[in-house]
Amino acid sequence: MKRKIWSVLTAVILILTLLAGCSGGAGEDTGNTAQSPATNDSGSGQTNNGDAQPEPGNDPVTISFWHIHSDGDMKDTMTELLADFMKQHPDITVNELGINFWDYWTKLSTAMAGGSGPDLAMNDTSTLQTRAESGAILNLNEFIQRDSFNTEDFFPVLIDKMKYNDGIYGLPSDTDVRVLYYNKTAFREANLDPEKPPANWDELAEYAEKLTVLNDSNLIERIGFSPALGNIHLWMLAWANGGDFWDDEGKPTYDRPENLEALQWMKTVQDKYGVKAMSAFNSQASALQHSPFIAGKAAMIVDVNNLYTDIKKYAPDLDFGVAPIPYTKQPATWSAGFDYEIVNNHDDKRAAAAWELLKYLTSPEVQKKIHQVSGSLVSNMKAAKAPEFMADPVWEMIVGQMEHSRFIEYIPASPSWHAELDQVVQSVLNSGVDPQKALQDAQKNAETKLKNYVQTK
Amino acid sequence: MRHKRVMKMSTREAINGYCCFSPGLIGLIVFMAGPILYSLYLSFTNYNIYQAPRWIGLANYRIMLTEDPLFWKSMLNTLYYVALSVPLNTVAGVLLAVLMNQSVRGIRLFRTLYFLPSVVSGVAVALLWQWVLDPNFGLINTFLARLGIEGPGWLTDEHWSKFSLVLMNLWAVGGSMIIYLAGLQGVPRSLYEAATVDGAGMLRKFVSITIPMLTPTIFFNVIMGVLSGFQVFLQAYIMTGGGPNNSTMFFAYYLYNKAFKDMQFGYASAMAWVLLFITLACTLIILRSGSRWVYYEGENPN
Repeated sequence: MKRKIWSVLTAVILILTLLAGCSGGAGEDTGNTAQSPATNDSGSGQTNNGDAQPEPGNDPVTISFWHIHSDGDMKDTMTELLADFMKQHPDITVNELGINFWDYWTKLSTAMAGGSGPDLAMNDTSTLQTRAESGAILNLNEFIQRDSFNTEDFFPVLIDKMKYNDGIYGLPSDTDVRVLYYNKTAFREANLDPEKPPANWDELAEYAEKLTVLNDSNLIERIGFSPALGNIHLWMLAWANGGDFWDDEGKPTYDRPENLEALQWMKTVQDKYGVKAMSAFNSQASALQHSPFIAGKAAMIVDVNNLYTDIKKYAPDLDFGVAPIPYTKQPATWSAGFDYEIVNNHDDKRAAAAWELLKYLTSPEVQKKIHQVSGSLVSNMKAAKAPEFMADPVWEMIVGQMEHSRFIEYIPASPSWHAELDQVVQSVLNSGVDPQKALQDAQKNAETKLKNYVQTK
Repeated sequence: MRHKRVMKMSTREAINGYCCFSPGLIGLIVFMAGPILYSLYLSFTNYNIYQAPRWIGLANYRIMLTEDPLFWKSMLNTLYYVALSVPLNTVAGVLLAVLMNQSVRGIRLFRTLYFLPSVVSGVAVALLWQWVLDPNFGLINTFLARLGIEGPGWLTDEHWSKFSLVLMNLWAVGGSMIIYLAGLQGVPRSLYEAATVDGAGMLRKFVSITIPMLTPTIFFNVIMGVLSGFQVFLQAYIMTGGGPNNSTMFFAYYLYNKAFKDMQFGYASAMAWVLLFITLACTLIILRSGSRWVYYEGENPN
């Protein structure tokens, strides 16, 4: 009998502590005024305080900042930079959180939806407009006007992606761009002029054939060029051929003849090697753990600017050049990137502090430092085009390509259209689907998606 | 008087019982049932996580069932995976368990060795197998090449990719093996002795005693296998990204992409509910079939 009373008591205590534990946690989260939990619920008291003192910098404020640098040099650099920032702004405390790239996007979006997101967040440049449209992030126009902040310091293609309606909703952090890398030693071996990289598709295909070397068992020892390697994609080749997959009104144009020509060209180049030889070569390439270009296994490759950083690190003696990507009708390349956005946490004071941090992180000095550590193409042109960096002809060529660079369109009706297009290309290159049929099917599929998007909006 | 006291005792015991499992119950309601029901609501809405969900009726279901080719492709991929991997795992698991049930020296070591892969993190296993299945340098193709056979592209060939993942899943058979082993050890010795006296051979004993006595365990493992098979995700996420040519685009992976890549949480919720009903139907069919082939001790088999 007694034992039962005890067990009931224990159970009750357990439940109570469980509940208490929950409420305790919630209290801690809402933070600053922990002594009087009653005022904690509203949180509006805090905001009013902020309004009374519009000048940021007197009251201490704590903000949180999330980014993707969870390990390595950039993590340490970020921590150093933030320490420096807090020294300059003694009233602002920054809690940083670096989450690895693979987990970052799920964590950030769910936290923002649940209202527990950071004040300043690194995010994906190309999808900014969904968050701007939904009010999840703040319009920075007021801050920009108040501080006469010059947005023209950034690459135009990047700042364009920050715009939604009349507002600017973020500032770009860093980006990348694709260029053609070619191995000068291989060019000499094949009796090609190492100072004359291919400029158009015909030359590219012709050089590719001359540069390809087979070994005794007829396997590819060195490949001249393959659209399956590096970072070339159908959309970019289509752009270079005057094509496009979406028109200005956001309607799909997959079945344009320019797109088909680009896909057919990919297939022609690829078919010279055959699917089997190609897949053998690919797996060999992936076993190298870095680009086949670095290992001298590919004589020409289209890849991002990070490859240059890798070459300097792993193959400093490689005799190579960089050039604009060969094209038929117009020069084209593409970029992706990160930006910083102020999350709408309904707290003016924290937003103002986040703006200070945002300005700091995109300032030329800080961006230069980030470039020095990571080699990344930072978005502030004063940093990316700094004379000390531009003295390097490779870097100068890379930065110059930003002029022709585009972002993949963000299509709300079909956000993954580019990943799906890659599968379409694979079905043509590896599984023998007819290019025209593949693109027509993709066109139909895109039209259906658009129709359904409009209907359910 | 005596009767009343008994009632009181039982009431008290009931209260004790409820108190003791209430933390679990509260947890279930707050953390599971709530979100589950909410996802049912979301499946009738257009929801991008940042804005409030907007009611669109059955549109998600209509689009999914009539106009999304990838939905059907991912469904067929998943069915293929379940239909191949569950029977293979069952056969391999039972055979392995019978082997591990022999009384030989060092059998404990073997049991541990075979169980080990199912303890290793799934991500590590996936990365390991990516190397094993490599067309040129992989363990399997190197071995086949020694025998003069040219191995397939495994993960890079769309006709082999799903099968490769089934094969890889077979490696983790140790988990179900342990359960079969426990089932085997519950088979009474006396049955085997009686069969020996009757002159039954090894095969006869296996078919007429071991298998029937093991059916409840097989039943359990098949249901668990089907449930986890329909949720296959990690291999696609880590190893193949759904390719080549969408051949490993599994249902759960497509669902994840819809939710977190395309931010279409309403659509993804609808997919989740479709998956629930399909899994439920499969489980019910297996449960129904159970009375025909599952033998419980104490029952009278006809």
